[in-house]
Amino acid sequence: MLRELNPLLHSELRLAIMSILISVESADFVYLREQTGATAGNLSVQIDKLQQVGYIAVEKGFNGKKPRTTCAITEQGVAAFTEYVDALRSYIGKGL
Amino acid sequence: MNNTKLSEAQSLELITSMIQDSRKRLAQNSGTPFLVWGYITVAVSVFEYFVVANGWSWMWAWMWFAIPLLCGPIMMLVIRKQETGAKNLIDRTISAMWSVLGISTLFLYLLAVAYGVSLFSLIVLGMSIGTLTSGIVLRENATKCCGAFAMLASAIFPLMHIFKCGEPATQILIFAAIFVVMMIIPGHILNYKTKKR
Repeated sequence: MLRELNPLLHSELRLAIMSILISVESADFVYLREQTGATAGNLSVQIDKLQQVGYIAVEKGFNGKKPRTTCAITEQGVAAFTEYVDALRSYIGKGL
Repeated sequence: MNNTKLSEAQSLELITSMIQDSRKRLAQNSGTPFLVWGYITVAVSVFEYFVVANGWSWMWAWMWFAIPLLCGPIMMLVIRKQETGAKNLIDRTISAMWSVLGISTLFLYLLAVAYGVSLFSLIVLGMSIGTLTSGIVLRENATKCCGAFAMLASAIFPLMHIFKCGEPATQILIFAAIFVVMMIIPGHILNYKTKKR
């Protein structure tokens, strides 16, 4: 039987954010915006959603005088992402 | 990019491309620190060669400190300019290793100048460990080879001392030549490869 895909990760922008964060220790908002090409508003909303479920940790600080939002994936996020990729593989393996 | 639902294949493609793009961006200009330290060390070494060859005052030996004094601020500017907004383990490992090696080398410079002894061998050995380790971590063969070559070449100086050959001026030129192989060549190769990607 095919495993259900996590609906929270099965969205283009949220999946892109998680994919970037899984490959780095942390990334700031500007980096995520540039890498995903998303608008600031949309990115901010999706980051909030991922933070609310505990997949990412968000830290607000300053870089000099400029405000800086830094995101990092949590252990819970890594587990959810791994499970999502495993589920995807099972779909691809079934020839879908 | 928006919130559209993806097919399973599209999801896997997106994950792969995001991870690859992020890695490429973080690897960009990774050769620049090698070039900064390499060119400045070679320039100062060539200057010191003329000092020794022409018998100028020993006071000019303090010019060796121009290397950390110039490289430090330049590296701070380079780091600030290259800041991507993301950090990964490889970056952190390499910069921590070079910081430790840099501080150790500074002490060696101090000893060398204060006591008037040649520590070229130890300096080359320390820096070659940095180059070889960077090559291993970045999985870049040319950098590994240059680091390994420099590590072997560090033995030249004690051998010259044992066999009592090679003037101090010649040793400085050999030191500069090793730095070309150990820092400048890998620096250009790393930058070329990351730009080509």
